Amino acid sequence: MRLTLELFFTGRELDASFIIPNRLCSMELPELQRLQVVCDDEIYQLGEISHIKIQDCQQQEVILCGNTNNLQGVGSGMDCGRILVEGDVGNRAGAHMKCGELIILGNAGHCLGIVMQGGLISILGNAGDRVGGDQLGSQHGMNDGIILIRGSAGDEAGRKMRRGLIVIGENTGTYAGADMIAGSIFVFGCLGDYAGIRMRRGSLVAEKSKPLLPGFRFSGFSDFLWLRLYLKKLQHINFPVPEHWFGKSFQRFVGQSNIFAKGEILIYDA
Amino acid sequence: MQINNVTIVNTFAEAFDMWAARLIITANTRKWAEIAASTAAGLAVSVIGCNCEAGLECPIPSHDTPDGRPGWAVLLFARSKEELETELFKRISQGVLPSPTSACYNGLNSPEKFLVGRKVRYFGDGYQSSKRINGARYWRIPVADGEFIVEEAFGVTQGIGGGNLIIFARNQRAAIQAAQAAIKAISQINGVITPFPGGICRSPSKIGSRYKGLIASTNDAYCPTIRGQTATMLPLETNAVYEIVIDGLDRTAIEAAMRAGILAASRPGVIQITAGNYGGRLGSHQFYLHQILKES
Repeated sequence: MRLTLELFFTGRELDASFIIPNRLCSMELPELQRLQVVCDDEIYQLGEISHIKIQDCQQQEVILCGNTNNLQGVGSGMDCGRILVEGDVGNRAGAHMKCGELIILGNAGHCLGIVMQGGLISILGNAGDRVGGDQLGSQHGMNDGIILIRGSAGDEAGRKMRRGLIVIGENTGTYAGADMIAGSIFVFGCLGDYAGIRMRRGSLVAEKSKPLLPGFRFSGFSDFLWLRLYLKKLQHINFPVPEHWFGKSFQRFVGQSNIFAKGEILIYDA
Repeated sequence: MQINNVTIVNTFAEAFDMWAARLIITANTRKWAEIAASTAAGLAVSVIGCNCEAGLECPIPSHDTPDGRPGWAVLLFARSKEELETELFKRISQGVLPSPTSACYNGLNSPEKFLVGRKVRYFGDGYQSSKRINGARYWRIPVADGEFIVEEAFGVTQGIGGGNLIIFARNQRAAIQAAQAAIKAISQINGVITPFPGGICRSPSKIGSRYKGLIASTNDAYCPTIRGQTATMLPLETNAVYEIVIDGLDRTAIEAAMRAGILAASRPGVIQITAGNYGGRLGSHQFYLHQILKES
């Protein structure tokens, strides 16, 4: 079933955490129209804030269009199916996501994919701060899954990230990979200041970087084969990767929290 | 049955269940990939003395390998799962890992897996790390030319070992030309290997020996120079015999390989093509030559 919601709520924020494909796709139209939704601390029925269209489809898919930029927590906790947002979204999109696909054709706010546990988030535009990071009180950030951002990401991308892959087509803000436990972050543009601060394991890979923190120690050059495994995978899912990264050397820096830390930053060796 | 005046004996090849694994070995160049693969498959001609049988299955073009570099597929066969796991570990850690620029990936999509890469990683002495991509874990082991990448889990499956052809020829020259033609044809078939040197065995064996402790010895019935001393199986004009042993991932692959081998080896100078068996007492798979050829 394909469910299309054309949203026309113009208020400050719409709690979109109810948009779980397998839940919505199991409902009939009248039930969907009566579904209660929290908008700006008030409760509305879904039929009051959107036009609902149902089509037959083998996949469980929800398409969100219209006024989407006030959607908060779209796809949070989703565990199967697909959500396609034809526009921008607010904060916490894909938070705690377990499985499935969240495609955003515009920009995303802060905390995209925080504490994500699996699945794929793909964004054509830019994302705010703390992509794939942790939320206050949690021991770790993203635990698995893939986040693909064609544009740039804000500060603290991958904070406390434990597993998974974040790919950023352009640049990152400051503190990318801060407190990183493991996982991989690819930046096809420039890595911001303080990248990898206190990271224990994991990999930050970038085309170029602002000056690295002093705790990172130079560890040679190499054509790292594991990068090719990721790059081939990205090509397979049609994410544009820089062709010049294939078979070229990267400078390796290890650190950062202490001498035993196994975090690494790989910078393309032009 | 006759093909090109060569008699195809109405008999069958007797083969056995074996456990199989498939490695994809890559390197910076096709040459280094082949060297690494050949080393990994080295001295693995027969389970009689080598614990496993192994060989190069086929080259893999760079666009089909996990890391986009040229590669070779290697098949390994052993009589038990334990032996296969031991041989996989030994051959990856001693054959592939030291080979310049090499990497080693699983080439068999099977639910049953051996975590061989997890053991190989200890060579990293604490400096190893891993990446998980598409649900598979890859170990990065620091080596002196960069990093050796090995996949953690290798799929294993039930395969078949011991499919065979025996070529009787008028002389050694005709026999080796026919055997080489058969090997060339078999090399085009995926999912099989011919583990003997160059794919050809000049020493078909029989079970046991007159000497205590030897489990196999020369099959005197196939040796032309002692035909006056033993109960020979050779037609009068036969002066050279070669055997081709075929191990495969499944029955279909072995049948295709045997068919291709028989057709290619049926050429001038060859008298007959037969197959080795133990009367059906030992192996659970029987490949009837006439039946295989009729199916083509």
